[in-house]
Amino acid sequence: MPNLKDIKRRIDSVKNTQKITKAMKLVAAAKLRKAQEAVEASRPYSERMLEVMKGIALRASPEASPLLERRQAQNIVIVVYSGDKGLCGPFNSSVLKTTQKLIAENEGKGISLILLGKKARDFFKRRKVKTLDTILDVARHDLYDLAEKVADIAINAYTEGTADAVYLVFNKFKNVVVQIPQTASLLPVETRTAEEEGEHALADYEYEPSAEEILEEILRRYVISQLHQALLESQASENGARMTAMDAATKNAKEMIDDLTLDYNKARQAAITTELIEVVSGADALEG
Amino acid sequence: MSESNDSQESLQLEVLTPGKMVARVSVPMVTLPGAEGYFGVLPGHMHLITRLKPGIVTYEDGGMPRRMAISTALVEVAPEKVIVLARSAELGGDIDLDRARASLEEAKARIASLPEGDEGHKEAEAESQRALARVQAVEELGE
Repeated sequence: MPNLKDIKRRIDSVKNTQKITKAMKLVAAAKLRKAQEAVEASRPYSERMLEVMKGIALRASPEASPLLERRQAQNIVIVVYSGDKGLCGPFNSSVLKTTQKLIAENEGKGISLILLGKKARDFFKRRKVKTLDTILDVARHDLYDLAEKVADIAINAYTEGTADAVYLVFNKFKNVVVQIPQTASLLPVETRTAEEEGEHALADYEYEPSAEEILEEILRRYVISQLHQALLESQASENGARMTAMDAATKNAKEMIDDLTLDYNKARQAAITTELIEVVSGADALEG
Repeated sequence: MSESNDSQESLQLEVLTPGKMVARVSVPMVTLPGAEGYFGVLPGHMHLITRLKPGIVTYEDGGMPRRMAISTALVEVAPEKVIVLARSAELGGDIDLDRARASLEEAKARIASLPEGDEGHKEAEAESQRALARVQAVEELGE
């Protein structure tokens, strides 16, 4: 027979846990709303940036900038967006799994990583993969500055020739329940899709100071904008995943409390019954 | 450039930052802080892509003069539109003058304390240009 006091103690402890998961869910929901707004707000900029970049890159030859030049991929760099905290469902594990798959697909090539978030750092610390840079406490950074920093590391590696391709792995935000781990190609910069092949802009453009310099700068800013947009998506995904996970945890806690309360009541009933039997049989004994 | 653009009377001006769309208006003319100095853009301007310095973008929105402080930016000019892609942009009315003045002073102090050619010196110069643009945007609007 479980002790009444023990059951009561367990109920209280589960109730406390439930309070925490509920609070975390509310915090995640508030952060998610902000993060989603940020994704939306930055979209016009990145769309325009893409248009301007495509406009100029379509008119430029692939040799015009090292960032457009396609090379046999001997060495690749993978940028990984993970989180600093757990308790957010599959958010971290799916990104890490996708990264590992990408690494396996590129076996035999030189691979180096740029890691964001404690989870990615801890995961790859035990595995022998070279890291170019690790950035922790992502949420405390200005995300655009962070994107700029990562872009410059990637661009440097690409221009120096220590990387022939740069990929980005992150969680794309679909909705609160669904976040899709994605691999995006950052460098070389993709300038045209198949249907745009053969399209030519007719307008004559002027560039100041020079077409090469402007192209260089636009490509850099385009890469930053891609990294920035993905960071915002990742942030929304993390909060969405946490909200869903904490909602499930709160529901589980409720079920557990219900079960325990049932046990508690049964145990209490049993105790009362036992006491009654004792009293009755005691009285019987006296009468007899 | 095609002839049909000559009849046009206004330009679509868009000012975008990574954080938000700051302006999207139809304007008769816009002045931009080019690398070689301020220049005006009228409808029918030739295609141009260039860099902008931290400075002030001036235009008229429904007859009201507007001044906007921008940081380093890229601009694409076409006969019918002007797209400014800036790291930051603030309309004159939105700028906190005291804060802008304070950061201008701070940047000036840093310029003075650091040797020329130093990485921080360059940054401080850019910062002071940005702060100056913000201060000017407010002051000139007030006059």
